[in-house]
Amino acid sequence: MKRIFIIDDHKMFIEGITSMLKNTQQFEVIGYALSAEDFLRRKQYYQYDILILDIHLPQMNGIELAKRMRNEQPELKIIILSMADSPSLIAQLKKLKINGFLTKNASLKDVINSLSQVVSNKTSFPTQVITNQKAIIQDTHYLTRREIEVVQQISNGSSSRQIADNLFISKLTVETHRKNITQKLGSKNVAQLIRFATKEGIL
Amino acid sequence: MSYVNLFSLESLAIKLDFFKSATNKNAVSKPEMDVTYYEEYRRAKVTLQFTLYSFLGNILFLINDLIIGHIQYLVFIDILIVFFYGALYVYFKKTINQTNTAIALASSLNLWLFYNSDLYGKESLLFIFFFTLSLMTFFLFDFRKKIQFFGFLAAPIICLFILFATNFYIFQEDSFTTNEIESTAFLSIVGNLVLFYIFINAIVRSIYRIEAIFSEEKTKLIASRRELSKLNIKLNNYNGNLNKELEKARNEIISQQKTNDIIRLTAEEGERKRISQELHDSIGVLLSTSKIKLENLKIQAAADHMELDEAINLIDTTIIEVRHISQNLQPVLFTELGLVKVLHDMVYQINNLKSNFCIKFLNKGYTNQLNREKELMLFRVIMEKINNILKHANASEAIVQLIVIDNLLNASIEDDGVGYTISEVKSGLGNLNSEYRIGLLGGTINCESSPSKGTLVQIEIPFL
Repeated sequence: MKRIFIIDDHKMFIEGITSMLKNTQQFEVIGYALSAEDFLRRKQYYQYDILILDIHLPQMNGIELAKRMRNEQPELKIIILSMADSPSLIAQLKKLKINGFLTKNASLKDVINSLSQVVSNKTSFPTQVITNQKAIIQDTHYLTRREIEVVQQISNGSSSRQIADNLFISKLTVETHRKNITQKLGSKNVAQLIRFATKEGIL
Repeated sequence: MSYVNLFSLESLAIKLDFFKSATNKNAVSKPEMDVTYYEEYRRAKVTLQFTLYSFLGNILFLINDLIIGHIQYLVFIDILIVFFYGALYVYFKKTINQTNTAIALASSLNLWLFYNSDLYGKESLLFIFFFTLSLMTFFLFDFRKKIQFFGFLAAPIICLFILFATNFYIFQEDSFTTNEIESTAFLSIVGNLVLFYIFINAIVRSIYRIEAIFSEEKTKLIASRRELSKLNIKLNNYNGNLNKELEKARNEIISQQKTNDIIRLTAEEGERKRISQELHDSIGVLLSTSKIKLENLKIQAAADHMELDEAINLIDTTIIEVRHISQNLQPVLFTELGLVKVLHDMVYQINNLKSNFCIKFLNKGYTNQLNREKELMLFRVIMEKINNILKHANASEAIVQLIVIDNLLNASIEDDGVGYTISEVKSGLGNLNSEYRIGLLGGTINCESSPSKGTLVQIEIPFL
């Protein structure tokens, strides 16, 4: 029987979870607090294996509290509860070595799954989040379609004015493109830029 | 015999006042000369003119006196005198010489008759006396103002008196001897010479006066010009200060307005956050709790209940919907996560929702150089643009970039959608709103689009 302590500012939700877990043999809610401060004041009186934390708490937020508890008790299992399933948040939580993440609309099955995972020293995070990271471009040499057009024009020896005329955009736009491209590729001059573009197969 | 001239000189000063009104009528003041100086100059000029005329009259009388023995020339000179004064009268008709001319006419006639009394008889002298009297009365009452009337009265009264005395004396004599006439003429010559001196003196003085007026005018003009340039400099300084003050005030107003706008927008965001939080916390939690209760119920019920499952699903959908609304109002964790992470989430969310559309995000160098309020403003603009893409662009791909170059953030949103002609959307509320927000951040926004070539939005924000 694993002992669970819940910290959430909604008493009704705590009651819900508690009654949900009442019928299981593995888990038991032994106490709850409505704020991080309340918990910190009373935590020494409780023996708990798992901490379920809401992110939104009245003063100190769940992440702060999680950080603190992780420092104090490295072996403690911490599960964060939140309404929003933000991938960035999850990434952050992973960095903080939080054990699991649950959205508040999780079903009983989800909750028990997650708790079991955590108890067996695994992490429990929503899977969909992890697979969707391709859209975040990590390679800062990546050029957009328009930037590639501009690079091609530059390699043809066109001036900003000519590029603007050729692509039907304003000179200002071309200048901004050039600045961005130069910054992204880290090239110091046109020659470097063209060399890079050739290497990358843009030209 | 030349008393008339004496009086004319005396009354000159009084009469000068008349000039003023007379000259005023046809006075076209020279632009380079001060008006008061010009007036004085005119006055001095007329004085000189008049003195010269009187001098000329004086010469005529002198000639008259010198040739008193030669009656045939005398007649000619006398006629000349009469015409001369007549001409003066005509010339100065409405100005100075009414009385003088009258007296001159009368006295000339008188003189002429006096010399030729043997031709016309002594009775003619009496006639001429009354003629003079009536003529003078006529002219005297011709004056419009009383003060002038009295001013002029002295001269004619003395004239009359002398005329009368002379004539009366002449009446006493039966005839004149040449000797008598010549001795009278001698006195007259002496008198005329004295008048010569007086006239020349007056002329010289008049000329000096005119010159003095000119030089005085010149020095005063220079002085006043200097004063004017000083005043001008002062005025310019004052103007400059005023402009500076105005500029300052304007800038203050603008910055005040900007502050107000920022406060307003921050308050707006605060309200959004509150509503979002409210939705998220109370309604969200209520729904979640309801769901848990239903699930508990389901466990207790043992048997499968379709209705119960449906209710749970319904609550699930509602929770997701509420979360979306709340997220749109303001990303719940914006303050905690910051722009980059929220953009990550946004990208993730959109890609999850849309199957035939991919949005990418690239960040080069942006960490948290802007504070959260500014980040939120920029986020709103980026979201506005992304929403436009989702709604109208029919694009298959879009990319959001944050690129930091030195002290500048270049944000760009690019899509491969249908695009639009700039004028179509330029005045749209969303665009104005974006421009406004970016303006508050001290940045610029630049949209580039043409049909079938997609849209590019470039935003430049300096870090302060």
